[in-house]
Amino acid sequence: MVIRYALIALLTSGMLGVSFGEEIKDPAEEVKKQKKLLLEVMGVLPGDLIAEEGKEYFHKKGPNGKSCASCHGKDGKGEKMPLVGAYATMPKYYKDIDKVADLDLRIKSCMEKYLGYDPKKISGKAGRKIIVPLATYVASLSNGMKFNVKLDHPKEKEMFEKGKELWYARVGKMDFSCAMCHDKYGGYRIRLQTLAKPKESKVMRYWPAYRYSKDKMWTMEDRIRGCYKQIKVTKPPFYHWAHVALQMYMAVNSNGGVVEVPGFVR
Amino acid sequence: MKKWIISVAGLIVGISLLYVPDTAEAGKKRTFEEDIKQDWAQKVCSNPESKVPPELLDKFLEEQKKLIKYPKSGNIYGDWKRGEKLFSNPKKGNCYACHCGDPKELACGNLGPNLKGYGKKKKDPEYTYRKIYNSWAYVPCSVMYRAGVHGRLTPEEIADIVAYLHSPESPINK
Ligand code: HEC
Ligand code: HEC
Repeated sequence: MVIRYALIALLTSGMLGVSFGEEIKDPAEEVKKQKKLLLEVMGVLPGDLIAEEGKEYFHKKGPNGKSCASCHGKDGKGEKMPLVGAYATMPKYYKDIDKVADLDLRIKSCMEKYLGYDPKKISGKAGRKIIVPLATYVASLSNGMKFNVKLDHPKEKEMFEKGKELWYARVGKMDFSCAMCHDKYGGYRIRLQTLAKPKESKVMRYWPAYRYSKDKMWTMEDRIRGCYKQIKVTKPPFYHWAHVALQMYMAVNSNGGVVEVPGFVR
Repeated sequence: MKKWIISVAGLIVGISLLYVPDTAEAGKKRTFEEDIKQDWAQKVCSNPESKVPPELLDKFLEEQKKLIKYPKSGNIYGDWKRGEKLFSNPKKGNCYACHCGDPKELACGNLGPNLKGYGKKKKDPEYTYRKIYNSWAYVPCSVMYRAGVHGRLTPEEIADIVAYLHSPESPINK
């Protein structure tokens, strides 16, 4: 495992250097090239290995002897609560926790409520080591299906409105909003980074995603925290309502997009 | 070889620009909730068009102009060499995030206009000072942050950047 990560880091940092040459390359072409190179060298994409790891956790017993598979069936294909297609409808209101949850929060809630994990032990970094692979695996169970998030429950509508508000809110000492970088100036460069257009690309359909520039698997919560950090706003803690709200807004804008997880991004 | 060095330098700059910890408030732990509180102008600008409604425009511009303060010395034309460092430093001006300028600086963004030759355009240095201090006093809701208003640059530091943009010796105007 360690060797794998070291190898990728070496590889990608070397390749990345090239992408910062005098001429500015087409970022989409660059991503394709990096993906092809990694596949050639490793024979498999790192994101797929992490989904595999998540699958192992899915079938592993928690502190009280149950596993995710105990409730959702082997490979998430149980009769009662199958997870095939679940991600394509998230975030969603869940009665058992009386909350609208995104992928990360839903998984954490199950671990605490049904597998007996101590909330204190999994709310931090140690929890991310399990939750990120699990999120990757669970999302991949919806591959090939169309994103279809609905706003039926009043709490879902409320989350969508909050998310929309956050998307456009000019905040902090840099006076930025998500919309300034990703709607108005999407496609422009900030330094050498081309700004993504998450609404146009129906972004939720390919997250969680493997980031080759960091050799890390990120869920959308990691991405949102990264963006707030860039604009010098204190990051919302993991599982904070702001993550759910922003994803609700982006998910509705991703409706119709076909799920393809793990994504592969810069 | 040369290309390779530029590449690596570009990589370092490229990464560091986006992940700069804010040292100004070190020690005090701020929260997300505190940080997303908006001032009146930010609230007004928080709409899909990022525009001030016409009926608020006069009030908006007036309020933004009122926020502009000058150096104690009264001198708005500082030292261009210091300005050069402030302009490129990601923890200070971070101007290259959006503007190209010195042709030697390749890692520059294109959100804002290219500032190469800015000094030859016969703009009033006082305008430049005021624009950097509070960009919204001229272009309401611009993507360009209000460096002076938020205290990210002091009046003296802004004066140095004014010199960097106007001085005939500055690489911006060579
Ligand atoms: C100062 C500019 C800036 C702001 C403001 C900003 N981001 Fe980003 N965002 C970026 C950059 C740079 C990337 C990385 C682009 C890349 O990887 O190619 C990114 C990537 C993303 C992505 C992934 C896009 C993809 O196609 O994979 C999402 C989603 C996103 N941001 C959401 C947000 C949200 C939500 C906010 C507000 C909380 C926000 N961003 C604010 C600069 C910004
Ligand atoms: C996030 C993007 C961004 C950043 C950071 C930024 N600018 Fe700007 N700047 C712009 C945009 C966009 C414009 C054009 C619209 C406007 O005037 O607001 C502009 C306009 C200007 C102008 C006016 C040009 C003219 O011809 O009147 C000056 C001068 C300027 N910027 C200097 C700076 C300096 C100095 C810094 C750093 C302290 C800086 N900018 C940081 C985006 C940015």
